[in-house]
Amino acid sequence: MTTSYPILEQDVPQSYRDKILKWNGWGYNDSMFTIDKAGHVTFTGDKYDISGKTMPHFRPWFESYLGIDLNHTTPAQKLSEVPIDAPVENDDIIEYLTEKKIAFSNAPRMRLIRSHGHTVHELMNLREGKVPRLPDLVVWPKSEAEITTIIEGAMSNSCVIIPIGGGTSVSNALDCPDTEKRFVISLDMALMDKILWIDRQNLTCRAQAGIVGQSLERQLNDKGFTCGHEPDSIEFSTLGGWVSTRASGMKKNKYGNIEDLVVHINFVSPKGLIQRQCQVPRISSGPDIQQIIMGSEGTLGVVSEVTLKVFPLPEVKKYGSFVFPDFECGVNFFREVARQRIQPASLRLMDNEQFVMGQALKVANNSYWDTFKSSLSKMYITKWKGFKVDEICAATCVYEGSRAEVEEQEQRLNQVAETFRGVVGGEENGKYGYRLTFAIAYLRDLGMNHGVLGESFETSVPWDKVHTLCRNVKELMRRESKNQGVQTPVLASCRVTQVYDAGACVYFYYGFNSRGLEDGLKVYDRVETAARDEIIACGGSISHHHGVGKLRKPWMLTTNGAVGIALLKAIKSELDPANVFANANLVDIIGSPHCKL
Amino acid sequence: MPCRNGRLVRYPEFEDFLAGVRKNGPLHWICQRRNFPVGSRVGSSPSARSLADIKRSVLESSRVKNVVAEEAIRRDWKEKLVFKEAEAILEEMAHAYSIYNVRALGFVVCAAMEKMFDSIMVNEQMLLKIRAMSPNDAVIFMPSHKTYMDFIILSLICFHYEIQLPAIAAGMDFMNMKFIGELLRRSGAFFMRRSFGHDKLYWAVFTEYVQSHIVFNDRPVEFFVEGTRSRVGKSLHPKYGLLQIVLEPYLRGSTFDITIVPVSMTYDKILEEKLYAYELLGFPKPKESTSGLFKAREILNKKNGSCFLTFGEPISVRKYFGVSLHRSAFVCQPDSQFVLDDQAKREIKRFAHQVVEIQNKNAVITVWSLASMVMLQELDLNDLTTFRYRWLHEKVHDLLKLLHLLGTTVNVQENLDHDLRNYLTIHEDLFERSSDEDFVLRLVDQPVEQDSAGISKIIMGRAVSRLILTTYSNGMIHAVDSEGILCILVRSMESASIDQLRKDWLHFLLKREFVSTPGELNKLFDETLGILLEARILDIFEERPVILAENYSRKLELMILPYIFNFKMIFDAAKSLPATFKSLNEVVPKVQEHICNVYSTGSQPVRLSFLSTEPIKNALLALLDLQAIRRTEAGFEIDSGKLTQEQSRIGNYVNSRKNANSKL
Repeated sequence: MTTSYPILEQDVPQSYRDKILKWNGWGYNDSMFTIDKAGHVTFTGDKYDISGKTMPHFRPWFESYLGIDLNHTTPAQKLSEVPIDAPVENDDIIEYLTEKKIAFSNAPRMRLIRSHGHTVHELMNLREGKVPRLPDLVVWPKSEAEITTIIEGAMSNSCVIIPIGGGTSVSNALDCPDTEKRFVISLDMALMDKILWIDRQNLTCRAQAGIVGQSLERQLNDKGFTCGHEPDSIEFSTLGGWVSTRASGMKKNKYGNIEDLVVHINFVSPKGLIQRQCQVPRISSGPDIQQIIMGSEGTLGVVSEVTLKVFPLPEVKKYGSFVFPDFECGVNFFREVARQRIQPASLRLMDNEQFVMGQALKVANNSYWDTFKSSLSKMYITKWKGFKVDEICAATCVYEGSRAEVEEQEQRLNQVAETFRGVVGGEENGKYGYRLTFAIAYLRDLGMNHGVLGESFETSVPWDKVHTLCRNVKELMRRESKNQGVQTPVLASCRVTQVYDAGACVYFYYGFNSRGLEDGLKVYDRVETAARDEIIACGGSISHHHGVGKLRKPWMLTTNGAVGIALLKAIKSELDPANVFANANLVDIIGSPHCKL
Repeated sequence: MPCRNGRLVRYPEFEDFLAGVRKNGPLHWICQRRNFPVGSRVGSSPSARSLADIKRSVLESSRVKNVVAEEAIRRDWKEKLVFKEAEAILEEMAHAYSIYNVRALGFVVCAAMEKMFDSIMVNEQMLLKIRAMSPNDAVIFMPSHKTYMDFIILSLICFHYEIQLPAIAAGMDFMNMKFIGELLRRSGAFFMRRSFGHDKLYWAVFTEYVQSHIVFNDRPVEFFVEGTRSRVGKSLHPKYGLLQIVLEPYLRGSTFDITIVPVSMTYDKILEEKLYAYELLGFPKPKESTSGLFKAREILNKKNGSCFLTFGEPISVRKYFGVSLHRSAFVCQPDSQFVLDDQAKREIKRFAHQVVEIQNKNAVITVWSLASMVMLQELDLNDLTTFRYRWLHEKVHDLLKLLHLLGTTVNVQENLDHDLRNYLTIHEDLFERSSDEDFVLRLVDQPVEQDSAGISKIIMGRAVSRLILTTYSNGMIHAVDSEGILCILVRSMESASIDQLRKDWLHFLLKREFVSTPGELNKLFDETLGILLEARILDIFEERPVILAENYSRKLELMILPYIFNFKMIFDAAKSLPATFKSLNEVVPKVQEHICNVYSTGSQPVRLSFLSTEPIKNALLALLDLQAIRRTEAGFEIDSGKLTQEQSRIGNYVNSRKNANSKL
């Protein structure tokens, strides 16, 4: 880091974020895909099943599917070379925080690491050393009272607060608006990571909002419980982040989404604390104010504490998988499962592109028997059942419950699958599918090392439009890439990740080789924007659980209508008249510098 | 000036399809190995569906299933019975396309074409482009429609260029033609009833059948936006229903994109020319029968000249509607309840009109069309006049110059003299001609079997040849219609400002005669003014358009005035109609009678082609638009106040022409 300004610090905590996470990529420092000496793709570290394993089929897939030459690299800039500007000056707030004994730091690395989420833009900027506007100071409150103190300080010293939980946002929600002239404080919730109590009687648990998902889950597991909320980012994302983005977990079929799990919230706003007087399962007291907090994306205040439902750990957790001749059969199967309401804890459908990619990511097997088995099953599927290799798709699922429950669920699901020409693919394949989920996020970093830009984005859509939406959006990504000058084949893939009574959640994956393009990021932008327009035109939504941030603001008006937007603005101006929480997510506030009006 | 209308038919843009056939004979041609690209739904690998697959997908669609269930309740029938009816409808409608049938029939058809036509000219590069696109997005051919030959020739061309033969939406009347019906069915035509507005079951099956072809991209779909063959040589007012059906899969996202290809088809000689003339005069339409067509056997041995096909630049529906029609507006409705809102319907209508405009723009304008125009104008001076060849040549030459000035390309194949002589041979049955070098032509009267509607045989017989000439002269009318109208306006409304003229833009009144895009009349006005200014025919003097080139302006006016006279006469006739009547068709003969009377007394200038039912219907519909005629529960009623108003308005345009030399 090249920088020259006086470092001001007080009580700086040692946090995992600064120690074991990458500063310019996904996840843990020690975990990444690399190319080994033999030229094979391997995964490093020791934190995952695939750590230390080699994936001999992956390189050929990568090179042929995306038209990549792995010998061509686009390495990231070193942290030591990244130029960091001095923060905005505001001695008053420093003095205030010092006096109030709040932990803070303006060290360049601290600021840099809390300045971004994980969109392809943010990461490319870090890799290329293009540093955007950074927060000027990081603070670490230790309690709800300290949050209040910080907000008061910010209000009286003309500061902006941008709260940060796990920093896994993919909507530019954490970016400081370029135009912000005030002193920006990044409010890091890392120290508020305790479980306050577990109530065995009512099966609830109270925790501070900064607790990281995996830590919460591990502590609950130790006591024989689970919270059941398992987003793909569970290793890094926090409880407060889940609440403020309306997060969704993999096993929502059994446990529900965050809005189903939350019983009670404490929320610190510039006008004071919002909290309900009781902790009850349901209430009829006018429009639900908790629903306004959920999804507010840091524009109204800070989630400080949350009461969640917890559940006894299930007796059995079992994986399963199915293979379908084509995506349409898979979708029809999902629709039927939803109709009969027999969805297991999790059910996901991968399209052909992902199925093929998944196969390519299989680790090298030493067991002769295993290879024999999988080639035999391949023969069964393609030769005996007549599935076409370029149309096949797969579903994976997780069953949770008592042994009897799981058995019954499995049986019913297998039956339904059969009526849609599905073939039961076994437990191992299912397990593998879910393991892949965690690994896939690391894959993008490998891609970026070789000029590949990529991202995933999601939507929700009614059942009758699932298939057409998936097809059209994928086709659009392919055609629009070509129009934008991409010469090589692109990865345009999707999966159905959630099943609802009235529809589904669909995830899209898009990646392309940016080598030779003048401005790869611009191409990426155009394609993603066109893809979102297409999603909306095909009946999909602005977002299922990633939220709006700044990235998806252009579609807020169509989504909510002018009156709806006015209402959101009114709430904002009531709770935060000085626009302290000026991260500019969701809607533009008239009078704020980033407003286009 | 850039080419605005017409095409010059030249190699390498145009190729003669028949030249290829003639090289090795039709048998060799039809037996060639063909490689038709197989289309597919976006995102699936290509696979050809069988006829049974297509039928199954229609009957098992949720649309048909829903309607069957609804109808069962409404009719109080068993669902099974309603379903049987749906099956029967489908059976009657569906094509039986197979490549073997096509090859078997193709030989006969191709051999016949080879005999009939000197050449069939096609702009080949565009076809290659269309072929390359066809596997990805469904292609919809939208040809102009002047004759039976249209779909036969288009299919032959597709076969030749290895594009999947289109599924053609044909009228039910073709199905009843014994041999031809089956021929069409086997080469991929499907049959639609002429009207099925309220029959929900029929509507559902038909819609699903058409859309199934588009969604699965089995083969291109072909339909005629004009709805029926134009008997008058110029475009008919488009119909919207089928276009809506065709576009719906895109609007509801069932298909990624649809490619629309407007096709302009021009003929040196239209096989049905005489039939049309009789029909337009009100003789009952002969049943479409095979024997009828084969009486046309003699046609086979006659010289019919050439046929020209111009395939337009393919239009991506996604691109076209990308800005005007937001699909997101429809997504709040479930797929099974899809309804188009008014805005969408308006946009689709606009599109229909634009396709017609493109068809016109790309159509080949022949020398014969100009010659017919010139002769008709001469007949205005004396309805029994004769034409000297040298005179004709000179007049056509003048008109060519004028058209050139307006940016219109007339297809002169070799040179004017050669072409003109050739056309006079092709159309020799219309004339008696003397044998000297500068020969004289006289239009012959055509035989008429009986008097009709109180109009004498002689007049009818005379009218036939004039109607035929009108049909051909209409082949160029789109190149001069708005220009002529504007010149008339400028002359009749002396020293009016541009805005005043724009407000009085006659085009609205004539929109059924000269098809234009609704909502874009002002744009058309401005464009037309621009063209006439650039051609130095009009000029602007103190912000008022004035006539600069008297000679050209008058020529343009004279080409359009007959249409206005025609309308005026019909408006006059409407005056003497009963105050209420049941249907428009019922009053048409009365209008004809009125026109015939005026012709006989010679009190006003009349062309015998005014007897044509087509402009009469158009004028009555215009009165309906203007609310001078109103729809009532029992039929129609005339608002005589409004009618008088319109009568005097249209009168203004023609009366100011009193000083002109011409009778018209």
